[in-house]
Amino acid sequence: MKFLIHILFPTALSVVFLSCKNDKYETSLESKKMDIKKVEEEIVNNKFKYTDLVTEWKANSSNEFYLMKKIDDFKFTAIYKPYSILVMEELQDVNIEDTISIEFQKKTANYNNMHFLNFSIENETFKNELIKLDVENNQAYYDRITYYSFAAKNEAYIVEDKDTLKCDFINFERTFEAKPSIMLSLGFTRKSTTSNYKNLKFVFEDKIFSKGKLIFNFDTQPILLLNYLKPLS
Amino acid sequence: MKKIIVLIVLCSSFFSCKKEKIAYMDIKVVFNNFKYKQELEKELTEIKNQRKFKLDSLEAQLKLLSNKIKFDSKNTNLMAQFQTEKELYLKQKYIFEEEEQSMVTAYDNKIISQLNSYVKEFGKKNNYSIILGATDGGNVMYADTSLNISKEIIEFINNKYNGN
Repeated sequence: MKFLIHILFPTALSVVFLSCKNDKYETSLESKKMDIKKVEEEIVNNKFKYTDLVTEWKANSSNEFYLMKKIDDFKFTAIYKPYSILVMEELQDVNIEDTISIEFQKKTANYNNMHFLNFSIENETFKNELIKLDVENNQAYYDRITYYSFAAKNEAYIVEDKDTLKCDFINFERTFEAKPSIMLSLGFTRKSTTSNYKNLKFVFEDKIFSKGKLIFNFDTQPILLLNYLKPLS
Repeated sequence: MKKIIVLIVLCSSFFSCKKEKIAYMDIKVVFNNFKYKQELEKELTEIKNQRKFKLDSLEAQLKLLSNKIKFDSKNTNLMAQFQTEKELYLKQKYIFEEEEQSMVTAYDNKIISQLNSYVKEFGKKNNYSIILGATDGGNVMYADTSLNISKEIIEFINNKYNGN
C-alpha cells in the first residue's frame, strides 16, 4: 500500500502533468504552424497586390505612403517606411516569397516595434542649401544644424489611435548644395507591437520656417498590409 | 461646306458659353472656424491665464505692502521693498505684454499661411477663376448669397489641416 502511495501516485501525477504540458506545447506549436500557413496563404493569394505595393513604395511617387503639404513656397513631405521595406533593403534581393523565411522574421523583430518616417522640407524658389534661407550669420547657420540634428525631435510625434508616440531618434541628412532640401529620418517606438491600429497621424511643427503645425494622416491599410499585421484583403 | 459652317458656329457658341467660376468667402467666418486658429487661440488663452495668475499674485503682494505702509508710513525698509516689488511687477507686466503681442503676430502668420495655401488648393481643385474675400470693410459691396462658399471652404481647410 505504501508502495502505491509513494511510488505509483507521484509517477501517475507526473505522467498526467507531463502529458498536459506536452499537449499545451503541441497546441502552441500547432497554432504557430497555423499562423505561418495563414500568412503563406495570404501572400500567395494576394501576391500581386503585395508586390505591387512594394514596387509602388520604392517608386516613391504619389502613393499611400507619400503625403505632401504645400504651405506658401514650402513643400513638406512625409514618407512612411514600413519595416518590411527596411528589412528588404538590409537583406537585399529578397523575393516577396522569402518574407516568411526565418532570416527575414529575425530581422523583422529588430524593427517591428517602431514606426519609421522620412520627412523632407523643400522650397520652390530657394535653390541653395535650405538651412541657409534668411540666415543672418554663421552662428545662426550652425544653430539650425543643431536644431535639425537634435531639437527637431521634440517637434515630431505620431498619434496611433489614442496613443501619442514620441520621436525616439532623428537623423538629419546633410545634403549641402547637392539637394536644396532638409531631409530627416525619424523613428517612433510603438506601445504595443501586436495591436493593429486604425488611425496613424504624423505631426510636425517646424520652428525655423514658422509654417505652423503640420498633420499628415496616413492610410493605415497599405501600411498594415506591408507589415503583416492585418490579414491581406 | 454647310456642315463646316454649322460646326464652326456650334464650336464658337460652345466656347462662348464657358463661364468664369467666381465665388466669395466671408473671411471672418472662415478664419474663426478654422480649427488651427481655434487650437492656437486656446493655447494662447491658457498662456495668458497662467501669466495673469502670476501677475495677480504680484499685485496682491503689492497691495499687502501698501496697506502695511499706511499703518507704518515712516518705515523706510517697507517703502524700499514696495518700490522694488512695484518695479518688478511693472517690468514683468511689460515683458508679458510684449511677448503676448509677438506671439499673437506669430500665431496669426502661421494661421494665415496655412489658410491661404488651403484656399488656393480648394480653388484649383474646384476650378474657380476667382475666390473673393468679403470683409466688413467692404471689399465686396454686393454678391448673391448663392455665391458664398464659406461653408465648403471651412470644411475643406479643416480636412486639409487634419492631414486628410
